[in-house]
Amino acid sequence: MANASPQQGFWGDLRHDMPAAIGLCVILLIVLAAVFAPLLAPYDPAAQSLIKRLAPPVWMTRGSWDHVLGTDNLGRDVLSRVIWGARVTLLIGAATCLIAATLGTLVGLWAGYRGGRTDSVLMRLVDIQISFPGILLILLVVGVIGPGVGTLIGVLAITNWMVYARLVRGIVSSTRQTAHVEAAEIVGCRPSRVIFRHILPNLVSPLLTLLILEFTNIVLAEAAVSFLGFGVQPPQTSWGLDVASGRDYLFIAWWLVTFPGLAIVATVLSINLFAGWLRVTTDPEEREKRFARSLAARRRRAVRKGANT
Amino acid sequence: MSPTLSVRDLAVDYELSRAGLFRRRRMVTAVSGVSFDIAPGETLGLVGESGSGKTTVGRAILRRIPTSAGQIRFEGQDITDLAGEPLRRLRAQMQIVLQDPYTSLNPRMKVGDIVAEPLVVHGLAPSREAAREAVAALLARVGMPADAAGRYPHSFSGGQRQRIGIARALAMKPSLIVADEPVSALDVSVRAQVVNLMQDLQRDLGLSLLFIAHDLAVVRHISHRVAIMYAGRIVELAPRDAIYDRPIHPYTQALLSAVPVPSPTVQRSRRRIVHPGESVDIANPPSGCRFHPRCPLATERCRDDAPPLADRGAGHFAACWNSGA
Repeated sequence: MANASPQQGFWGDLRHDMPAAIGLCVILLIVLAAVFAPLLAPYDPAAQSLIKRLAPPVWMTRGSWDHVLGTDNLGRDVLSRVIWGARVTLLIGAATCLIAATLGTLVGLWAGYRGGRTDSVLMRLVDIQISFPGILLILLVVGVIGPGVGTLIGVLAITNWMVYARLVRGIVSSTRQTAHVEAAEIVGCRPSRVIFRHILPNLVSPLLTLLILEFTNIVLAEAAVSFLGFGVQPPQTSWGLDVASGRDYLFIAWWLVTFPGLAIVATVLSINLFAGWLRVTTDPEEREKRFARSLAARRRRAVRKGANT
Repeated sequence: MSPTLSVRDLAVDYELSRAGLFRRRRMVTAVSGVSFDIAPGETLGLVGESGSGKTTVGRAILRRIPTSAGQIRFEGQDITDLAGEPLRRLRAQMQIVLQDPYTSLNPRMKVGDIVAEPLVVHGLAPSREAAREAVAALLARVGMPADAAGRYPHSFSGGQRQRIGIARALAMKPSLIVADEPVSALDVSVRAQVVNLMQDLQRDLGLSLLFIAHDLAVVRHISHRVAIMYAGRIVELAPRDAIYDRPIHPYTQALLSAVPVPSPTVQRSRRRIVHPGESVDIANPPSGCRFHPRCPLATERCRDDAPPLADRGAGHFAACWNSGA
């Protein structure tokens, strides 16, 4: 092969993976919508109008262009609420996942690398926290400190880091035995270098997978806490809160649940598509295989085109 | 000349099961009473069957596993209990070539970074440019193409990967290299190349080499002296030709007779010495000489006393009560 190691740029590489490119575009759209919510949203998401309550979306018989996605039980515009809800949902989801993953990964790395007593102590800590009902801890902390987005992020991170610790610790204690880690230690690498340079890169793909799974969990957990009145406080709104509060009207006004729900699905799906690509890109071997495949496909296309003319 | 490496009465214990609330810690002695020297520029071949403790000896010398008795001196310095930063600095001078070239290179690092890593972690690469030059010289030394530095390990064959592993071991200009079965994972066709490379490097750079293997032909080719291990002990240690031509210990004789000779007439006339019985379960080793349950020469004394590794003249050592020199 002429060019064994493809040195294309980020975009050039991404262009060849359509689903991932679409995923990234959707993520960017949602983030932009969240950032520019005040400009995009047609109404104040908290403005109530009891006359217009439970108006259906525009394409239904009673629908109107005033409220494209209809209104909720208090006459608030669903579209505006979805756009504004992206802010809190993305903030809580991303911040919680990052904090929990960082904390869990560090604990897992340390436990797996040191082994022995350190490992036992840290993992028992994880066991204790897992056996303790998360929702109870959340209610307790929120009850004492008071609700708010910051509190929610902190509390959700504290109740969700254990999964990462478990996963990372398992992989580390097996990776630790591999020959290239032993070679790094004999070469004279300090423990921190062994951990971050030789062990951590092997964790990228499982961690990415777990992060995405957990993101959905966090969105739903936030919804549950908000539903109980301990999370996001009105007039602030989030997708989870809307899904939870729209549940009561499911049979007479399906759009209350559906649109914020679709927003969650779209976000998670596009992150997933993009992460699949990212996982391959961070692995040199997989990356070259993909490159070879796309090269072969392009060549096949060229041959077919040549045969047609 | 003082030896590069000097090992005296080395013993290593492994933990079979950890101490629990109601049970005692169970230990197994993997290696005991191992003593040998390696002179500067000398290759010592360490041979034994699986489980005989040869890899354990290599790891103990590199201070990868704790020793339970004995002393290891490296260039006159006692390194038996070295730890922390002094041990890390010592690592610059003794390196390893690992058995499996497919797992011993980090798949996510470029070859250039792998080879440069010792220089970087020991602060000997002042600039990227200097590191690149050093890497290029090392790769050329082990016969790798110059463009290898920019590629990942998975694009190389087993033999080439082992060369990369050797380049990494050479980066710090060590005085001792422990080669732990460096060719047993390779195809027969590339084995000779890698062995010859190691032999050339050893001669040109004046390295001391501890060559651990179970392939007797390879060991004969590369070693100056050979030590035979059985069940965690050295049973015979002698200059290469002495041990291959005049083996003393019954185990060595049996081992050597198992090597086929590439000539049908000679092979047909040879007698294969087979000692009945299983290899030793080192969790429950026999008393006295560990070979006595299988040994044709065994007497009462072998059952009670372990024979010392005694000098039989001309640097030929054997641990046997009964076989004459």
